[in-house]
Amino acid sequence: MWLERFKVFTRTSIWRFTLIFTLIVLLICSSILALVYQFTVGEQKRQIATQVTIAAQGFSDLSHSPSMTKADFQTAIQQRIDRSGAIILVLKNDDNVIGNLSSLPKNLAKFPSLQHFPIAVVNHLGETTVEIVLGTNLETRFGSLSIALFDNNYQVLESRFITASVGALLFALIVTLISGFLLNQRVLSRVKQIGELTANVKAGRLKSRLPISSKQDEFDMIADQINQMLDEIDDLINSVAQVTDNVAHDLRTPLSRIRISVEDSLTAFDENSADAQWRIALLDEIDQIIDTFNAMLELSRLEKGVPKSTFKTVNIETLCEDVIDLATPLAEEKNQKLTLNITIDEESSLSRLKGEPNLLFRAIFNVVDNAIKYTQAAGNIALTCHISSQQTDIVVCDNGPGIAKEHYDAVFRRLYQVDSSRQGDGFGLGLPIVKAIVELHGGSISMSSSNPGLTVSITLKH
Amino acid sequence: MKLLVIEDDKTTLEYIKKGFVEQGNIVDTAENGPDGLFFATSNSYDLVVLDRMLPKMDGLALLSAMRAANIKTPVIILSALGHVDERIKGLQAGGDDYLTKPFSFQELYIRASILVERHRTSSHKNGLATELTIDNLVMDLVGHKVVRDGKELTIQPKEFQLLRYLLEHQGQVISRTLLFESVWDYHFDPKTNVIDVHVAKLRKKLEENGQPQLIHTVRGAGYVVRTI
Repeated sequence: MWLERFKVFTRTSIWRFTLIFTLIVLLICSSILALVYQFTVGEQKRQIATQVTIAAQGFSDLSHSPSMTKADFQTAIQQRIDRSGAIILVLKNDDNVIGNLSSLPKNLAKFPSLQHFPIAVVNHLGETTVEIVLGTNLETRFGSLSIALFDNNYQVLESRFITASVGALLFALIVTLISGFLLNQRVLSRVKQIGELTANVKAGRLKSRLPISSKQDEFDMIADQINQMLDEIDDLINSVAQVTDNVAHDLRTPLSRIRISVEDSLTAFDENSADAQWRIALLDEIDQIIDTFNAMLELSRLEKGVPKSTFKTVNIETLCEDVIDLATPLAEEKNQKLTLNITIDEESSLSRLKGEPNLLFRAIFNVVDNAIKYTQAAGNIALTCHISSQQTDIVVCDNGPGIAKEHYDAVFRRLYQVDSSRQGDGFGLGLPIVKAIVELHGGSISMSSSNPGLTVSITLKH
Repeated sequence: MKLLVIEDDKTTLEYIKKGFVEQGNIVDTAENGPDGLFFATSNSYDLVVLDRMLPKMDGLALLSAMRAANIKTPVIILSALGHVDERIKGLQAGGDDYLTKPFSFQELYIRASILVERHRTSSHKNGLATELTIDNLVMDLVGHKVVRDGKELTIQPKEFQLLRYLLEHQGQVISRTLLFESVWDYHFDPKTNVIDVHVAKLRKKLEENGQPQLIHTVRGAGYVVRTI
């Protein structure tokens, strides 16, 4: 899970931006450090190199002087050693070795190139330490002269500088990464909010809105825009619903007057006469129209929300049994097998569901009735009800033809027909009402395939 | 029986009045709340048919006032508001039944007769019947047995309740919704022919071995139990 989260995290554009930004910061830091290095450590390094070069050049010139003898040259060297303890001079020829260093590295760089090398030094306390010196080897006619200068200051300075630089760079790296991470988290959480909102809206919860902070940043601006957009959509949908409601409501009164007149005229005829027959057929048609209008009005009402004060404890076990009792003869007519399976985790969970029993009964019966209607003769329909402490799951599963996946969401919309050939077979308001009832109870409804067949799952939270 | 109909829509009022008068009842009418309350409190009726939305005084307020005045006359509420919560409000205010507009007069008449009957029997306190009979059929309410022509029938619990309700209202037409509401105790119109299927199943059991028909279908109205 953490790995998955990390993967998601590293895929974000903010993370890439953070990495690039870190790289830039490191580059800038490095160049500043390089510059500082040049002006401090580099300078010192150059100074020592210059001193070594000057000394070497001096001895070179001295050795080239025609009046110079070997003894004089050796004396000059000795004098120089005496004058300054910081210089190391070793003259080595076939006869002897003079100077202040007992052993020299072989293959020392030839002048004018310089080389660092370690030497062992006994200090005034008698301890032997290793010191780094910068030196060169000069071939003179009096022998091979090695010249070196202690370079300790530079060494210490350089190592300190490197430690400090690495520390500074690491610190910069950590700080930028951490701040990038925190920034990323913040941005990601805002983006996630937008993602959750669009998912909610897609699932039909048009009332969801984005929170807007007081900072008025770019995300707040986007959130505000999205909220306004959703308000507009919501208004449009509401006004359409309002218009259909008004039409349904306004047509109901004249329709009921027509119904009254037709029913009234019926009394004048014998029940089996042709005059009565067509009037009865007409009444059926009028009743169907009225039913559709009522269903539309009821749907709007349910979607607006019924006061929760009418809710009471629902014994879902009995309710499911009642649904099966009512539906069994319908299934028997088609030779179908209708089964009920109730599982209860704990006996105490039974009293946890709050709701309106008439509405819940209607919703579950509607789903079962649909399953019976659309499943072929001799098919199977199973109603399962699982009651746990947290929720009640009601699943209606059939082995009928099912419906195509792309209709799963759409069948819950008003007046939607899965198959145009099914027109007139119901009004496409049954499932929207079921959904409205389930959502009124804070539950959710979904469809899936039962391979073959359709599974409708209703989850009601306790 | 003597009825009071309180309804502000004249067409509906006339329709209800005509229907009841044709069946030989006496009908008083009121077209607004205060008039209705005056009639209801000053005369004695077997039944009040009350519109939910009335001018000057809301139907439910009128009902509450009636009940506060200790008038126990059964009341059927008529309403264009068919929602479950409205129904509950109506019944809580003291209504005995709730009918959503538009309705068929048959349905109103059936429910009115049953309410009046129930009110009468409860005020007489006849005691509870332990047995219901019609023709050669005996229904044992204590032993949960149905015997026809000496043979015991195998009958499901819901079929038993169906038959019981029909037998308790012998000779009265019972609508499908009323039957459903009484036997299942849920309030909505199942819309399908589900009640017909239940009744057909029950009927088949009752008419086994060539026994004469007891449950009769009344076109556009419902069912009635009677001999022949």
